[in-house]
Amino acid sequence: MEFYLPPAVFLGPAAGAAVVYLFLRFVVWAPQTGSSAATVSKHAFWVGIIGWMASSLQGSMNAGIIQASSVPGNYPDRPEDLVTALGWPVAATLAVHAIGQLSYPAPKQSRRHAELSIRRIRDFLPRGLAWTTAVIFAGAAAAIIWISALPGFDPAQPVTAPDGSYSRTGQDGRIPGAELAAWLGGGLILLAAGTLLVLWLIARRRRLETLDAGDNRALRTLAMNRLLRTVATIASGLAAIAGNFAARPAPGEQYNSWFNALGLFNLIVLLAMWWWRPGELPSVAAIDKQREAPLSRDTHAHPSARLSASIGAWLGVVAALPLFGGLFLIPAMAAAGSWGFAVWAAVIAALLLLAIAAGELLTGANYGSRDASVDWPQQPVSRGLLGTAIIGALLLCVVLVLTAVGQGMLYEVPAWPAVVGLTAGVFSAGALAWWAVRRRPAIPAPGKTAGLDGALRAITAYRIVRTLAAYCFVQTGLLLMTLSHALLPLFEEPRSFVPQDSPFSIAAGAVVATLGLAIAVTPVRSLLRALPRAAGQHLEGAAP
Amino acid sequence: MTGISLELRSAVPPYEQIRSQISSLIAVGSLAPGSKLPTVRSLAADLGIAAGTVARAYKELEAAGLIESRRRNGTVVLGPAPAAGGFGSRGPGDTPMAEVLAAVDRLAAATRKAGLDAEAVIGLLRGRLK
Repeated sequence: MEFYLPPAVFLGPAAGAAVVYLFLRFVVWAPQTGSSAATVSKHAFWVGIIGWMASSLQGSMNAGIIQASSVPGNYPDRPEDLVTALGWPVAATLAVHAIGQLSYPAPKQSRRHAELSIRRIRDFLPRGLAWTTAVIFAGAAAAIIWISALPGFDPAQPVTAPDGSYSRTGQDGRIPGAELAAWLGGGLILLAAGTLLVLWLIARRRRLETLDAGDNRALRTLAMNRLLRTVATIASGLAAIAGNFAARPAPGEQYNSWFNALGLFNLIVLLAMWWWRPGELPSVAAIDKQREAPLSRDTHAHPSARLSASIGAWLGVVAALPLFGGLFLIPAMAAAGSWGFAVWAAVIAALLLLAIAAGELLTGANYGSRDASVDWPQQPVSRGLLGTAIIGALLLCVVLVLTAVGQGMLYEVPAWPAVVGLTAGVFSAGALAWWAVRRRPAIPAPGKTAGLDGALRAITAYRIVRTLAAYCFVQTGLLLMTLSHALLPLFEEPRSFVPQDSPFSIAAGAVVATLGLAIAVTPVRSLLRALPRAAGQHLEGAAP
Repeated sequence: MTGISLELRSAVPPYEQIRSQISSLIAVGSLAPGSKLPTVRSLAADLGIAAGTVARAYKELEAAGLIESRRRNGTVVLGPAPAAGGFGSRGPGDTPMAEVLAAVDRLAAATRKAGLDAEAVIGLLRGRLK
């Protein structure tokens, strides 16, 4: 077995680790406000987010598969490819969580405090999650053991008769099951051992002087929760790779389609871990509890304000239904071509914008009055959000142009007409929603509720621009991921007749799409809090 | 949860503050015989001081027969040193001991409330106890 490790292979990850460390130190240090329970909580959140982003096994889903092509494909099937494809996500995730623990600040005050007790992993471990993770690891191990007995087979090359009278499509092969099982097993063992080490680090690292005993304890449990949820998804991802390997039909086998059941297991684990709440620091939770009830249930608030908060909650439902429905159509969308996923994103965005428009019509019909004067806010959308939307739109244009040129060079059916059409549809829905908010009859709000009409319009404007910004980022990310092969010919000479995927483009696409999702779920709480109300109370909305 | 505090601006060296507090906690029974102490590195990290400082405090406590460093079990409390007319082997659950601990807590709270210097109050207490 030949193995080649590039000499500078650790340079990039070391630089990445340094960047992550500096970022996390900056978050927890908070130079403007100083370290506090809120900044520590934010630090823990970012450790979870960065760790989750690093855990992607997307590039190794076809590990062990030998592409049916006369030139080397981009599926990891050689030792040097497998070790990087499987090793880096595992190592990077564990490293991020370890860096998170090491980036907490040392005590600074002259008065120091310490507890004279030994901290053990079991003192802070979330038991239910730990058992669930252990079961997922056991399932992944069973899947790996199962594929170790499966034979490998050579790919069947595509054949076309010289006169074109006969042609046969190629069929992917695979390396011996024992070989892939060794790599996957190694990855799983590394993951399990690394998880135990990071759990030990979480339990043993120094206490934070800015937190009281309860917060310090909760922070360790919270860190363990985030770590376990992430490693559970990686373990199920390794099982999904094994499932993809096992599901490949052997040469000569008659098949129409094949199904990776362990891929579904991976998806279920991903969703379960996504919804498994990490909890809060007790002091932060207490502050949250002190805040008033959600605006939608505040009897002192104007009914139109309560409706606005309720619309926010319903927008979440409107987005969630096609989002989760689409998860089951991923194979169909992948088969549909490069525009399959673009349709998914566009449908969700358009539905959201139409729901926003419907909400405005409902508000106008129920509470509006033609006699009241319209109060349009001076700056309906913040500069930050507007700038984000403009950057997103420009980014989408640039990526569309680049992929269109790249696809032209590859003589592929271009995806840009479909994407441009879909984007035009989304922006039309956005224009409709904007028209609805501009044309809505004003809400009479005398006395202490003066300004309510303008504030409600600002909330709707925020939701519209946020949806458009998120759409642009998500669509850009999807294009970068699905058309990564079209970008390579722009920057380097093609080395084969088979288009090669660009791992950099896929990674960049994942980051941009994640940014888009983050924009989509950014709540309008600050705007809802600022709503004028009769009772003179400050209100906290839970609406997205 | 038993803990110790360290005042870096105090004239008393940090290792002595650690030694005296652990010694007192053992004497009053807050640290029972057999209970484990954190490792030198862990305690030093929590307090944000050099490991050598904690190691020196532990070494002196060991020399006084209050604690013992065991290879497998870490650092373990042996028990209070034999005291002439002192607390003896009574634990914190005993009524006189509980009263003393409660009085110490009240004194600490009153000291903080009055904003008095801890060393001055300790000096006063030392004088009264003589």
